[in-house]
Amino acid sequence: MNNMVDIEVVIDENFDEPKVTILTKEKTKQVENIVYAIENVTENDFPIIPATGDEGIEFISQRDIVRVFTEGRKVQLQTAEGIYTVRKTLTGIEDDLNPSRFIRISQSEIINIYKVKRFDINIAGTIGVEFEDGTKSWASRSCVKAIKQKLQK
Amino acid sequence: MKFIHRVVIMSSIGFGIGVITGVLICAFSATLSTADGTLHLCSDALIASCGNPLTAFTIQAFASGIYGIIAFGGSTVYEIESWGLVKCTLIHYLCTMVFYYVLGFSMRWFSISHLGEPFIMFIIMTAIYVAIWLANFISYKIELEKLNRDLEELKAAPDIGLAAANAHK
Repeated sequence: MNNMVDIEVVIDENFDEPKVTILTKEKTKQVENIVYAIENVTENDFPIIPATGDEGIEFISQRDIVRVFTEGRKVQLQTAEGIYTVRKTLTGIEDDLNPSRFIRISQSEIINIYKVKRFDINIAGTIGVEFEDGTKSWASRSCVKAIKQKLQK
Repeated sequence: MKFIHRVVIMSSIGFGIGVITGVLICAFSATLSTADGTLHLCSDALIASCGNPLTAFTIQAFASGIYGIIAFGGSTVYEIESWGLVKCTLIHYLCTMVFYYVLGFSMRWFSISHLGEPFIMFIIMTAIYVAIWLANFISYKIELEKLNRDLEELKAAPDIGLAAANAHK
């Protein structure tokens, strides 16, 4: 497999901002990595989040966050690698998060919509959220409408 | 609006609606059951136990208002985020049912010797609550299926944020 990427830069004065188009036969890991790299460069308005884990303070890219939630009085942040503690309130961290990626699903939790596998309701009437990594959580009924509106924007 | 404020507002509305509905239903029922061509605001049994019609009417109106508080104020349990639909419906059902029978027997709406009417009410109320739960459950189920479809569409596009991904659709 050829790992080289053919890059073409077209100078066009009709574009005030750079526009990146990726032409590909299928969505591969390489394509994801390219998107990831471009996003990290362009998403400067949404900072990486400092959080404390087992090995001290780490800086977490917003793209890697699965969910941010309160447990007791602590605000915690979950990624595929583990759970970290954030020294901010949930509302405080919500202001730092990219609103087009993160959605509040209850008073105590904000989720990365791209990490969600599916939503469901169980027989007890609780709305469950299952993430790609198998983590499960619940959403408040009052947030369903807001989630739907956000997905359809 | 804070939850406690919602409870107070809903309870106040419930008290008003409870008084009006209670007075109307009791007057209709008492007038129909006596069928002597005059308007009765309370059952004869309640008037007899209270001593005079005014006291009986006042107590009955107040009790109906309290029932309205339980029914309307209690409906705010549905706003408790961490409770599932079953828990909310069950708690509201138990509160309204228990209070309905306490009120019904103390206001002489029905008596221990005639349990047919309260039993029919039990069946009707239970059926209504099951229907409410079922309607809510099905409505959320449909809504969440749509949500999952939107989510799949979104995730089919590259992970570049909702706004940009939606622009790709």
